[in-house]
Amino acid sequence: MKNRLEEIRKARGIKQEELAAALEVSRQTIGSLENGRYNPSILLAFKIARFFQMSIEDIFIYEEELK
Amino acid sequence: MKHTKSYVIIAAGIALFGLGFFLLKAFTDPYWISHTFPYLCIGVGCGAFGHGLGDLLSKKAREKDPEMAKQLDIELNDERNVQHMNASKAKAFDMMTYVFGALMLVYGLMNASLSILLTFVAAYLFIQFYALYYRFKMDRED
Repeated sequence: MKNRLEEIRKARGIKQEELAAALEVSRQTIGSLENGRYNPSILLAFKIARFFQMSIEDIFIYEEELK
Repeated sequence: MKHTKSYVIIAAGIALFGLGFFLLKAFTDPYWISHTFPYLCIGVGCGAFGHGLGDLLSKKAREKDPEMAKQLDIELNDERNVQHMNASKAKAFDMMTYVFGALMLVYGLMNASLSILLTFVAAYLFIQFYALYYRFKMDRED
């Protein structure tokens, strides 16, 4: 699943470490999320959306797999 | 008193270690329980001592540096870390199923003692049924 986390974080001038501390996750998790290697749980997705005061759909982009 | 549990475990470890050495020196009859019991005491004593000391040092370090303790808690509960831990445990369980299955077959072909073989099979089946039990339990609950 693609996401705009890195773009949004950088636009707000927040470091990975600061975001990780605010969300109470490790910095590696933020890195993996930004690289699209890790899909967050629905709880973490809500926490991220709430932190940036945006909706989940504005941050995470769901793409159906093409057959 | 703070950290009572850790101190009790450390003391029990030292006591067991000492008891093991005492029994080793005091009894030499090879047919008495002393044949293996002292070594068991020493082993369990060392384990308890190491566990208790590790626990105590960890608690003291956490008290000294609450920021580090919070970071450690975050790392421990981080959902990605938890997911990786569970996935690696699941892979190890799958591997154990094959390895233990092969080992049972080899022991059977080697005509190993029936009591050892049956204990092994019982332990293997217990673990497999334990996994099945939790599978059905979780299916029912969610």
